Amino acid sequence: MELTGTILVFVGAAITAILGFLGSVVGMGYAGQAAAGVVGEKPSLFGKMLLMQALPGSQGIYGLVGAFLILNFSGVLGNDGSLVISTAEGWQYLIAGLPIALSGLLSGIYQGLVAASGISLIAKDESNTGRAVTLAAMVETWAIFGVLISFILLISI
Amino acid sequence: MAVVPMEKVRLLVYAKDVDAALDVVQRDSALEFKSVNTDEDGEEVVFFPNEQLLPRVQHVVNFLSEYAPEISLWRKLREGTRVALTEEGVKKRLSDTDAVELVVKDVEALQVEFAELNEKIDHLAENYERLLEWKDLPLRLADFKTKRTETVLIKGGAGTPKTVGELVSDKLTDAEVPHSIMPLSDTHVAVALPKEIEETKLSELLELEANELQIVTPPEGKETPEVELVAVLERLSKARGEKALLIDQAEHFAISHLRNLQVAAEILSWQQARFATVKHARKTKYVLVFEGWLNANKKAVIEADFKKNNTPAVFTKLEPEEGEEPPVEIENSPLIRPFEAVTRLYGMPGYHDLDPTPFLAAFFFLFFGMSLTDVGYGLALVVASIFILRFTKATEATKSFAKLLLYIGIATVLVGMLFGGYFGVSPDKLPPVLQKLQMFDPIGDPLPVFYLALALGVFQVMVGMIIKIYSEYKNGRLLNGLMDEGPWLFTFGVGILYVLNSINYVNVPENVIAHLAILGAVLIVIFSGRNGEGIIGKIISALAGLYAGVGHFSDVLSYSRLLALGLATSALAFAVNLIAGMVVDVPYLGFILAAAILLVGHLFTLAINTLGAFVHSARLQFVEFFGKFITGTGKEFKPLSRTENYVTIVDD
Repeated sequence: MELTGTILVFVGAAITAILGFLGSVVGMGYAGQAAAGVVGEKPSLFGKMLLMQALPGSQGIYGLVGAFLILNFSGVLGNDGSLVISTAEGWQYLIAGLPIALSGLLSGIYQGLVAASGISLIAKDESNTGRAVTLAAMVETWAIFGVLISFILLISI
Repeated sequence: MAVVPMEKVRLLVYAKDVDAALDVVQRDSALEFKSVNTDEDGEEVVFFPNEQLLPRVQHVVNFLSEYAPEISLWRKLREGTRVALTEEGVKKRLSDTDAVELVVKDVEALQVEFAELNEKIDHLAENYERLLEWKDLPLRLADFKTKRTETVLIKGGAGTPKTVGELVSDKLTDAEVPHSIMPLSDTHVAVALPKEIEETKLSELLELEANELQIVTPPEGKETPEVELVAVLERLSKARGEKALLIDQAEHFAISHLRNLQVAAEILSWQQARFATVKHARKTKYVLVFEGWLNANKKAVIEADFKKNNTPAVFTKLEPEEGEEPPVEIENSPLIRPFEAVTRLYGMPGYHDLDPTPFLAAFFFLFFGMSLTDVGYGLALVVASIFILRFTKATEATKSFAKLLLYIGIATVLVGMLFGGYFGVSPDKLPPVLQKLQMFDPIGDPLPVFYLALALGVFQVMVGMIIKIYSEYKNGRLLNGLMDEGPWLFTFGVGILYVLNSINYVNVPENVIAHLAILGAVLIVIFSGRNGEGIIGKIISALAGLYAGVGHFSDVLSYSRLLALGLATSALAFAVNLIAGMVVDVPYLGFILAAAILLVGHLFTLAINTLGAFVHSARLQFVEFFGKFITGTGKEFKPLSRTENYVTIVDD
């Protein structure tokens, strides 16, 4: 039974990473398709398109940060085999990861959609880049708050 | 180190001197033209003299490029692909278009021969295919049409239960058409029919589509297909031999003339660009009047060049119209010029904004280093960029990018030492000297790096606010800048004080900090409230001011990506080493396999993480930093200039 806590920590870290990654995968997928269409017409815009496609990549990175913090705080990282995590504590770590995980998943997808629209904005007029980036970055705010809440939960355990 | 000052100007030139004057302007890339022509359909007074020749040269260049000898990448890098010319050389080439035209004529003649021969070969090949299909037909092709009958070839699909012969026979018998069938195989038959049966009639009778049948045009020739086949094959190989000769000739042309033709095409296209601007000018019989934006820093040089070349051309200064914004160009000292690539990726700042390049240079340097954090990878970047800079003749743009790569490579080495990253080798296996250099251990103890990343975020956001105040000061609105950003800087300061206090670095009573924080909030509310109109407007903009805190907060947290990107590099490099360590025990091949995995794996990790580090370091500048002090988006300055693909200009 003493393993349950550790397993819950593993589940928490895995969910945090995977959902963040999935958000970025879908979001970058949307943005990338739109970007490829624009680059076909205007190859000189490749740099800007790459930037727009990279925006929904943050959620995956936050997922990575979150998973790492969970593993670090719970002591799994660098563990010499003597670590014991209680079931209750395991649940706490799992729940602490959820804000990053879920806000990363959804904001990644929606940021991808906004980025794709922003890409057509840039295709029409290059000088719109700043505006397009800002609009897409607004969505990310919520993923960042996910990171914040997860972090606060983690340090409160 | 700034946004280049632009002057709106009018340029007056005699029609006969227009090419010479625009040549000076084009050489210096200093003038973006605006259309002031009110009479679009008016009669032109000057014409591009090589209007006919240029497309012909371009066409011939395209044709010959296919036959040009393959140049190895190494030679391309070492020797460059461009021809060095002086300004005199350019002029000489432009005046000697007759020689170019002679070569063009020769190549065009060759192209015509090519086209005719290709058509002939296609035709023969098609006939050959058909003859091959009907090879066993024991009938002379000349005898297909007799006085009363005509022979038709029919082929069908293989999937039907009846053979094509049976199918056709049944249909024709039903329709009471006299016929004689000569089956070649189950799918191919020749049918002799009375001449009156036309092809459309026959198609209806046989219900071609329903029965998957097809009436085939007979092969060309007189004798039986088998005899004709031999003759066609002979003609085909003869034609192919002729083509090989032509290809040989084209390759010779490419070796001896392609370079010159490419150069000619490029120089002519510069001239074309000059004459293309003429249509924007207002014209009288003798004088052309241009308008546009002039890079004010280059005005003196251009005027001196006009004088030197005896070109009578005059600039007069114009006042911009109400609300008219000049295009934007940025200029920086050679040291930070490579970082302009990052700014240009985002687009130009507004004309009245500060050029962000000098500010972002230091941050980009540091952030890139933190995102890659590996001495080995940093050295790889340094070596690659030094190679490009020292040993190749790359274009200016490539060299500038290589310099940027050199800088950020050095950053990666420096940060890598502090973070103990050496191709993902575990820190405790390092020599003690290197271990001593290590200040952070991102994998074993990520929290200090996390806090460092956030602290850098706070720092950059605050720098952004200070730059905003400076920018407002330069535009004569210092008070405005202070009231906008001052309260926030104060509040950030209180926040920093709180953190320092809670780690016992300073000792300030908690209630003092609380009072300061309240003071900060009050200042924010008061100063951002001043922008609203009416009481309700003021309340709304005061609350909006507080809400901006949400933005600042999320900006700072966004810097946590620095930790994650650094971690990702270490983790991937570590994984590569782990896999290589596992295969090293394979008998005999172990070392080779491990070496291959290390090489490919680390190259892949380097590539993928360099890209990620670059994009995300840039993003932190664009979203979190620029947002603080860049207000406008400028239109990029697009002067009349030369595009140098095949020519590079050297000094006389």
